[in-house]
Amino acid sequence: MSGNGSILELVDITLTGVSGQRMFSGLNFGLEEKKTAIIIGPTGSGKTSLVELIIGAAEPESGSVIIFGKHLNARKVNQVARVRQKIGGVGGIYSLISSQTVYENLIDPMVFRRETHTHKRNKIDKYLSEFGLEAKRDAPAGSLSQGEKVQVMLARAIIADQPLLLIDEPLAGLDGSVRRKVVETLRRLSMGGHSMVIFTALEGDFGIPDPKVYHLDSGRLA
Amino acid sequence: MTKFSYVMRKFFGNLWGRPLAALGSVLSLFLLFLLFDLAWVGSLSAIRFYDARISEIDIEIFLSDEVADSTITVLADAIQNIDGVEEIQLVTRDNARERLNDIMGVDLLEGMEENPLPRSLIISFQPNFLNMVNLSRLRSDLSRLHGVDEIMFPSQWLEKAESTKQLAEDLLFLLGVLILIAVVLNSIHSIILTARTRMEELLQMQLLGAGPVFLMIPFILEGIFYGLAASAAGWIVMHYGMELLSFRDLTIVIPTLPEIIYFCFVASAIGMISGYIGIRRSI
Repeated sequence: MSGNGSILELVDITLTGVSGQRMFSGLNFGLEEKKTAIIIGPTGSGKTSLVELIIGAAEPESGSVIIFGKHLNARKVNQVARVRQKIGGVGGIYSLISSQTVYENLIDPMVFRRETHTHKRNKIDKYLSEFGLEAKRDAPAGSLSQGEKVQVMLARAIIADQPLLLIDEPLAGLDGSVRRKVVETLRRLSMGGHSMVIFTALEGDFGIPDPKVYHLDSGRLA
Repeated sequence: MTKFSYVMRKFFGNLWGRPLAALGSVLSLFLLFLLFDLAWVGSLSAIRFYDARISEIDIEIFLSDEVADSTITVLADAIQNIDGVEEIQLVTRDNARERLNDIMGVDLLEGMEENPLPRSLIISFQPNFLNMVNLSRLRSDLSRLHGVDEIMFPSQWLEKAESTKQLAEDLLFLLGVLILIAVVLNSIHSIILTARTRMEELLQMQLLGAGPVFLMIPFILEGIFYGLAASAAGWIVMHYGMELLSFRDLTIVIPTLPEIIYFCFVASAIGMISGYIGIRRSI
């Protein structure tokens, strides 16, 4: 981590999209450890591009991405891979592997950790129980409901002790009790000290105490 | 699950997850390798056949009249010392007359006071020694010997045999290159198809922090498996097939076991390279 406790910093970022339009110009953003930021922006405002910048899938024309205290160079594949191992993603470009079971999806981020198989299995069982998904352990991810998928993705995002969570439209397509369940999980994760960036198109109550709220508009965060 | 078990699970998953596609890939590569094996065995057998025929050639050198009978032994000893010479047989004037009688059925020299037929030496060679290169060297060595008048051998036949042998080798090389290209393209295509069916998984694993090398390994292993399985199956079928065949005048020559192992190793390496190219194009 950098000295000021910042886990993620985007400094004076300029980025042009694939179609040639300017996505960001002089964009600045910072997230402190164990804090939550909510970025609100309409469809097409560049939320996914922002996620791609943070995980090294896109390279800015100018400016820096400083993550876990280090400048991220999107061309250094090994550095990018190591950074991604520390990020838990939910929604947007992150999804479950539909051909795999819930168990297999949860073990995937732990492949890179030097832990015994028993320890990993126990951890999965613990998280399945915590998220109320024990009965779905061996179900293919493709057969889950949208709410269950979000819950499994949230479990996958923290199961390998990832210090940073990127959550894209967590409540999209959810209603009623499922929505309340996901909100409760997000609140629990925030209270548990996870650093989170939540991307959403609509303002809403995520039940998170004292989040920093930004509006993404015309390529700038305000 | 460790990295190793993940890689092995994905490797076997690629094969068992699409069994018909995997079987189709192995079968098509097997047929290509079988074609190569057939060409290889055919070429080796043709070369052995020509070598055997060439080895049977003898050279006859005719001696000039200046050479006294008493010095022929000295000349024969000098020839015996030339590399590749196995045996020398002297044909005297009388022997030559007998041979002519045998061929013509009558004594054409009857009534002549002196036998005009030349004396000669018939030289036979060690097995597999004669070829056009050795022959021209030998011819030059023999022609330098004092008393050698003329050197006789079936040069035209030998030239044809040599060019046929060369043609067989060139054809094998050309066929080998074509089959190699077909094997590489076929393997690359199979790996690309496998990668496409797993594209969602590859993308998600990249997002979870899997590096490109880590993701490539199962596909490279798949390429190695295709090359090894197809080439080994090709030789097993060849081995049993050749046991059923026999020709009276032609010896079937199968490559040695180390050559076959080396071939399977090369096929695996081709599979590995194809696997790498195939997955590199996909991630």
